[in-house]
Amino acid sequence: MDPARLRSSWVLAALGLTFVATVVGVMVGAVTIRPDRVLLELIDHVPGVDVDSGLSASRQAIVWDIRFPRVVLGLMVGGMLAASGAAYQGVFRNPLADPYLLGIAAGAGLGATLSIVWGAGDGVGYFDPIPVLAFAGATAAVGLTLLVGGAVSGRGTPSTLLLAGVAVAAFFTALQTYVQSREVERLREVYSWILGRLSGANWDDVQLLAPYLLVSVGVIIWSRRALDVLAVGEDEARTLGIDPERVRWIVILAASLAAASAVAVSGLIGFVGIIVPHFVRLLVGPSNRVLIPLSFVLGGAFLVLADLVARTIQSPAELPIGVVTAFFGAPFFLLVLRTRDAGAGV
Amino acid sequence: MTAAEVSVGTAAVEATGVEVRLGTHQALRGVDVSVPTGSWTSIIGPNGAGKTTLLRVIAGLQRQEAGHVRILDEDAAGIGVRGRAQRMALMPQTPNIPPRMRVIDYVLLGRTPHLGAGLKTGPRDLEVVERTLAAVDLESFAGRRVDQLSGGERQRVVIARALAQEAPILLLDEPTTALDVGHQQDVLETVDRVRSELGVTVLATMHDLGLAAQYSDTMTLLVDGAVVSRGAPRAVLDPKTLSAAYGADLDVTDDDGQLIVVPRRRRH
Repeated sequence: MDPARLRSSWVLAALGLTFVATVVGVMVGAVTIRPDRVLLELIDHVPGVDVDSGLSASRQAIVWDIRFPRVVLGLMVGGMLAASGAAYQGVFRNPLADPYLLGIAAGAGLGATLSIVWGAGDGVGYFDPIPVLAFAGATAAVGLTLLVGGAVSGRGTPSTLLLAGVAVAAFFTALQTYVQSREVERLREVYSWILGRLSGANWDDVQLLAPYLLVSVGVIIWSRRALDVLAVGEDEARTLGIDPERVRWIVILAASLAAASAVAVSGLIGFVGIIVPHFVRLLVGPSNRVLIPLSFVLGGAFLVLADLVARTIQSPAELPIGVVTAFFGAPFFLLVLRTRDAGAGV
Repeated sequence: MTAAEVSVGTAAVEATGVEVRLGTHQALRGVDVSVPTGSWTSIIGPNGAGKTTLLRVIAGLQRQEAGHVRILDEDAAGIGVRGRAQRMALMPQTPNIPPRMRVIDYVLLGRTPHLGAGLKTGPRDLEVVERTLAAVDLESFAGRRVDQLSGGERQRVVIARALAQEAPILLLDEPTTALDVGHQQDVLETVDRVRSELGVTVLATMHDLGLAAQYSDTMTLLVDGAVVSRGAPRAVLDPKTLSAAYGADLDVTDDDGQLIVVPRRRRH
């Protein structure tokens, strides 16, 4: 009998799916590009490798400058949201926990709304302030939640933290709604940001997000075994030699950083942080050491496929990706829940 | 640290003058307790006497207002969370069983205090888990889900996790609550067997006075946060003291060397 561990067959399956999602994501669009050409074109960009994909210069640009960065950003954002959700669920021992739990969505929403109504979102110059203000709003909201929830003084319990998150989210949402209602002519833009999008993604976004991904997801993955110990509760974890407050702090900070930075570049894409970890949990069991890395990989694949639907179903118009993740994710999730070991807890 | 490295004759756990206030309630009032190395020591007393609180102080889960705890001749205040988990394992009264966790993964959690920074387990940890599962007669249960076991099996799995910690001191908080007579005996026999085989020191809070008398070397009677009497079971289980402590009419009879505590119906 083997203990729970990351089986190579699962990793290969998850990476395989991600690979397929990537290739299909680059292939499909207003012009369809053959998968072999997509691959060759991508290989051509590996440093030191020179192959001819047979694509014209404009199609090369479609692959490399438009579609591929968008797919890569989708992989990153989806992975970060899913890993963040899995981490929150582990640290709060609550299956309903999601990456927006501690006020990140409301804070980011306020930041983005301010940035849009101040007119800075028109893309003056090359500098786009929306991600910066969204990130600032998200971290301000989480910071306030942690402060109010007593985590800073060390007296907070997970439930006071959750309640503080609810209150802070309500407060920031109220501010955001107020600002938005005074500037109704910008409503469309605000609304489109809130529902999330990967459109217009470029390599700068990828570069901007990469360090945040490395740090946050790195810490979450590194802490995944401590989260397994925390599953027996704080007191028992302590008698097993784990300092529960320390683990909680580290994981909350890392998961919040992941969610805040992902949201900053992509808007409020909902549902990924809940559905992907639960889906993985139903397939491979509840052990965080398996769940967290697989959620990260599959979260990315899921978001790339959702984005594919978002940009093709009503082409040339784009659906907000958050609508797609919920519309396709929810029924699929319910189906899995029904056919698998339902009611077995999460 | 293994049990063999601990010198015999000293106290494995020594608590002196422990005071704990829970809100406005003074839960412990200057409690002294000494647990001789290799012994089975039981803390008895009525509900709310502070038995569990005392165990929690010793386990490092409850801060005391005053008093000191020494573990294996070291001041507990200077021992970190991990160090304490290497020295003592706690079997909680109502363990949290994570949903869908399998027996092998659950028992493997006991290895946590011995693992490196990333908490990665190795073949030696699996060996220990196999050994402890054998010690509680659950070898064939490794792949079963803990939340689907019966109460008695589950309790043995929790013992296995505590044993996998390979700590020289074992703390048991009401280990037989919610078990029927057969399973109570089963669990206590298991603990006693590993205690004598591995030389582990046991400190247990016990609800059932008869069972406590059968398994304990020494007993401490706690009433309203203070020690009322201590010593060998025969000395502590005095009908008068017990009756006063529990507010009941209790009789203690000696049945061929085995002490039996029976409540007597009050006649008015």
